[in-house]
Amino acid sequence: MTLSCVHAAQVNANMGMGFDAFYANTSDHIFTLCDGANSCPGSGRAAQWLSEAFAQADPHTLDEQLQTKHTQMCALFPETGSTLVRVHVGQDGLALASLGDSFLWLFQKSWGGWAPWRCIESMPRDIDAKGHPTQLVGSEVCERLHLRSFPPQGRYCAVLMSDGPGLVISEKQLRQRISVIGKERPNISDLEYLCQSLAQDASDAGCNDDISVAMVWAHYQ
Amino acid sequence: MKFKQWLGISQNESKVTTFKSSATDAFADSIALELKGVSTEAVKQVLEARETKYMKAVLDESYFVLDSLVITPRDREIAQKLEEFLTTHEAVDTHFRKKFFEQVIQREYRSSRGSLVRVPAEFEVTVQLGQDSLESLSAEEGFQVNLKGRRISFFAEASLTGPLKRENTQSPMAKAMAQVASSASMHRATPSPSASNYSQAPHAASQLEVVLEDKRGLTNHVVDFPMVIGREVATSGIAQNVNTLNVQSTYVSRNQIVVCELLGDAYYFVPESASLSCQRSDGVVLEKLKLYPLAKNETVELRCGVEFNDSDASPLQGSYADFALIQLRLQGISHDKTPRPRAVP
Repeated sequence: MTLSCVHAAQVNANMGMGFDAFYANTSDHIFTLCDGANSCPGSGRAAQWLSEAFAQADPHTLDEQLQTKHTQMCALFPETGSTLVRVHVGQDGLALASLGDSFLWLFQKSWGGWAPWRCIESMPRDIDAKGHPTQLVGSEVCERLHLRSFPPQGRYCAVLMSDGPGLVISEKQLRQRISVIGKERPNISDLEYLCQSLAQDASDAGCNDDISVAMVWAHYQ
Repeated sequence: MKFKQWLGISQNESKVTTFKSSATDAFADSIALELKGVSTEAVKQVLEARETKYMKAVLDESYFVLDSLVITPRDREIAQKLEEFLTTHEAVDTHFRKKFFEQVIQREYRSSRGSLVRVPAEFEVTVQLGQDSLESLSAEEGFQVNLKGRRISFFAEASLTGPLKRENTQSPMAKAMAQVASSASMHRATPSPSASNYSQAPHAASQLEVVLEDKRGLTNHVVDFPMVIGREVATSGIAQNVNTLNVQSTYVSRNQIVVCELLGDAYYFVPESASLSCQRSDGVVLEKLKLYPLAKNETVELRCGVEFNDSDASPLQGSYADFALIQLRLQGISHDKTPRPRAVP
């Protein structure tokens, strides 16, 4: 079985507050997007640290990693907090993880690539009635990482977004954008264009928050 | 006697007057053509190099933007002639340089693979003297010609940005709503001089609360602008950035009420496509395409299923399943920053 993986990202596309961070570990195919709580001044740096820390391959389980990184982050960046969405494209399948109010969707093109792209997973978001996050890494509440895994079959496209664009872009819009890829293998430039156009859509829809969009395309043959 | 006169043919009939163009006009004509050619080649060259990085589907739905075009005369003689030509005309018309190069640049360029370059309206060509432009040609260089024997006078270099997504093909209703949406977003993106941040912009501080009473009973919705309320409105080709709300009742138009924001104020109106109007609680029957202001924290009650020309209509008494009730209320919201979650004691 061979695995091809392409990724691209538009981080803080609106040159806003800069609380979002994306990290790509291309050798292990691990991609993370973190959105720091913008009420805490140090959260941007904390998000940067967390995105790098969680993009490293680790022999421990993600739950164990979470507790370790959370404790480290509390010590390094007190009074901050950050969301985490993570995609790991491994030889044995795709692993998604999320915590906080960021968005992570997974699209698949099944039937050997002949079926249209469809959303097969939308990761849970930890929010209260007001839409505020109920847990963040490095905050007082950091309890549970949501985990999903998918078999190493066919074409996948994961879309990672901070809550700003995620709240104004619908799943239908996303599917429409991803359908541009079709059956072909996209280049980095193609994914960069799609991320940029989604960021533009979010900006046009009136998003005032940081706008970060990342895409990871994977094909198991 | 001339031969034609001898034959009886009048000289006047065959008289052709030729107006000879002045040397300057001839220079302008030839230079414009040449500049058009080199600039097109330069744009096409950079476009063809760029487009290979993208899949056809991306090129089909996007466009590049011409970022810069630098034209360099190839020798001293051409540089002098061009400069003289531009300076002479600029003495008469200060905008001549811009006007001249507007004729040289096309509005769009296309490659054989289908990619598109658009030229911004305010685009300006740069004429830049290079090292060659200051030196006279040697005897050999004077014969530098292209494959078809034309002397090469200019060199052009272009750069592109993008690709950017092309505009969607939309229905007239969707287009109109997209304009409302974009004007709203533009308004949000441009804070007034007095506003220190976006949260102080009028739109950012308000949300629309809609209470519906129809076949489903009473439902409450909090939505953003712009908003279309009607029967099966979600499937009637409305633009992507427009929120929709479906009303389930017998007498309601597909696109019944549009609520939008213009210059910081909220308005509601009945669109052109509506076949029925609404009656307000004060008895007013809404007119088509007339904007009605919606003040903050004011509740407007609209009863659906009223004829347009029924100016003295008495308040409707039917069931909400037939004549739905729409309540609009503009509520202030606070756009606070994302808080850090705290442990509950």
